[in-house]
Amino acid sequence: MTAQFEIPEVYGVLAEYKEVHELISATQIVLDHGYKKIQTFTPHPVKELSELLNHDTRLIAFLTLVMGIGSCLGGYYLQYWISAISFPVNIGGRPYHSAPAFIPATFEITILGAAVTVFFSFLILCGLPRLNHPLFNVHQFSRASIDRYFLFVHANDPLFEISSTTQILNQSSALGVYNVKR
Amino acid sequence: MNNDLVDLNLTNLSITKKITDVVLTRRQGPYWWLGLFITALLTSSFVIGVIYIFLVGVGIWGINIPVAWGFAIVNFVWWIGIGHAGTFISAILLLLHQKWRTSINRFSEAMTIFAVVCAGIFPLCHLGRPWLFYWIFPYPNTMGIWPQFRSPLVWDFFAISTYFTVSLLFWYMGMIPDLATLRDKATGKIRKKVYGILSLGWRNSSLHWSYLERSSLLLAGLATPLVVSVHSIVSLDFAVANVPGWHSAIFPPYFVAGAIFSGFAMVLTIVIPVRHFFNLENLITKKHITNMALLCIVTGSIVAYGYLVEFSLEWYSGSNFEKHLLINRALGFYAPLFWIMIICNVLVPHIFWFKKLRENMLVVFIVSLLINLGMWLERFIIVIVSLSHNFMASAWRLYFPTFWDWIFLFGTVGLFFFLIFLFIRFLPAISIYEVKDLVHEENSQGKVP
Repeated sequence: MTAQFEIPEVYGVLAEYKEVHELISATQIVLDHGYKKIQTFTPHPVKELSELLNHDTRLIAFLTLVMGIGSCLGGYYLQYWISAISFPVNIGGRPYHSAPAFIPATFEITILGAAVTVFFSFLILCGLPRLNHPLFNVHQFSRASIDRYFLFVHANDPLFEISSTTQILNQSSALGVYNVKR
Repeated sequence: MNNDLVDLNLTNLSITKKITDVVLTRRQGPYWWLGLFITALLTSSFVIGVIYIFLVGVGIWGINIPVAWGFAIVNFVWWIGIGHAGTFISAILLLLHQKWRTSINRFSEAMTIFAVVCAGIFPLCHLGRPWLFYWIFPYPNTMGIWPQFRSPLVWDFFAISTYFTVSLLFWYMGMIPDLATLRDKATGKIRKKVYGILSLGWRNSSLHWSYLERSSLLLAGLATPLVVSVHSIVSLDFAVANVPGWHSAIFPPYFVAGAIFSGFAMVLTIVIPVRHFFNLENLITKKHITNMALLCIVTGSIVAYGYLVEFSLEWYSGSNFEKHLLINRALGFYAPLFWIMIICNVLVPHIFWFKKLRENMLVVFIVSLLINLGMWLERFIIVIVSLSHNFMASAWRLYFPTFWDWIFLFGTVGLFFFLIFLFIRFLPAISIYEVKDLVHEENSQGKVP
């Protein structure tokens, strides 16, 4: 017998809204129900949603500071090591360790190190690049980058239960509620 | 409802359509093709020039002793300066919460990158053996030698490469959401794939937006001191030398002000035709143009003040060489260029005090061209007039550009606009999500009783 246990792999439920205030109030309702693993998708940044969902982005600033200081020290030491230790060249009797002359390159290396850190930590913390994602399977989701507002409840939320979650979303002013398959 | 920064009747859908149509559906008109053709021609001539200089060497330029820095360094400083206004608009105005930057920041960032590309080629070709340019980078090598960190040339290398990298990262990061919009809007298979890959799977989630906003602020905070440092370091290429007319402590701030001044002029030169030919008048409004015109007065006045200080320092220096330089500039062989520069940079921007004139697009466009010319002449005067009359009268010698010097100047102008034309055609030239955000913000402010 080739019995197969087909567990419907549900990734979550997605609701579509026309206006940003509808999404904000729906998010508030879902949060009030006690859901934790939710995400919103909007064509432009919405401050209220970031506050509601309480995103903590301070890590990126911390990493930038650390890497900036690291590049600063590293950049200076590189110049010191080259000019005073590895390859000392006497030019008009100037000191091998000419600190003022090392400042411009140190500054530029600091900025470069910090900026590269910002960019890559932005990508890594956002989970990008990731070209495939279950949400892209929902046809309507392509409008998230154009004009529609979306609310998504993840299936691994402890409260998630497909029918009741869908019902909650249906009661909001959603244009449509879609099941997202993995 | 209307607002002087943006048309408030625009919706998410119409903003998306307006901006993506330029890339996705609109057939480019004859002007675009004509522009692309001319600039492609200039770019090809530039490529030929670069190949020629690789084969033959810098002798094809008019440089000699004592004027060893000719058009190449003039153009280099000019292009780098033009880039600076882009960073000013995208970074400094972001930190200052200036809403009017929204619809022009993508453009000006692109301008920065293309200007730095044009600028970077000159010192490279000027090296003599350009294929060995990487020797300036500190990498472990079998020769056992290292770059000389006491030299401004090495500082310059670090400044320009950092500036290019940071500008590119800033530009690309801000464009990811708009590339995602293009991905979702595109109908063709290839386009969908290309924009899909470029947008890295951006999903518009609030977490993404939060990180993007935080990262943009951080990058803006890093780019702000960077932009000041880059032209300061470029100015140190001159100020560290003891040539009269170069050896001056005023140079770093004076160069930075000049850079931003010329950059604003270049933004105007590009934006005015673009908003006209691509019907973007309700996104790039009169307010944007007049704001930039006013900034031209401000930065132009700082530049004029810089001239005044520089001339006084030379006049009261007590050094005959410095005094001679000042007289030679104003009355010598290159005097006509000096006076054109004074007219273009000091006098012309002040016609923007008149509201009628700064709201007339043609006038603003012509003035922006004059400022570009004036700022190019300023660099010509700094580089060439100072070198041609050095300490020893017996060593004086005039400089005349050759055919190839002109090819390199106009070739890079061609390359710059060629890249701009392609940018308008293939990438979102106006930040879609920032305009949406602006419209929402302005509308919700209006609704509050």
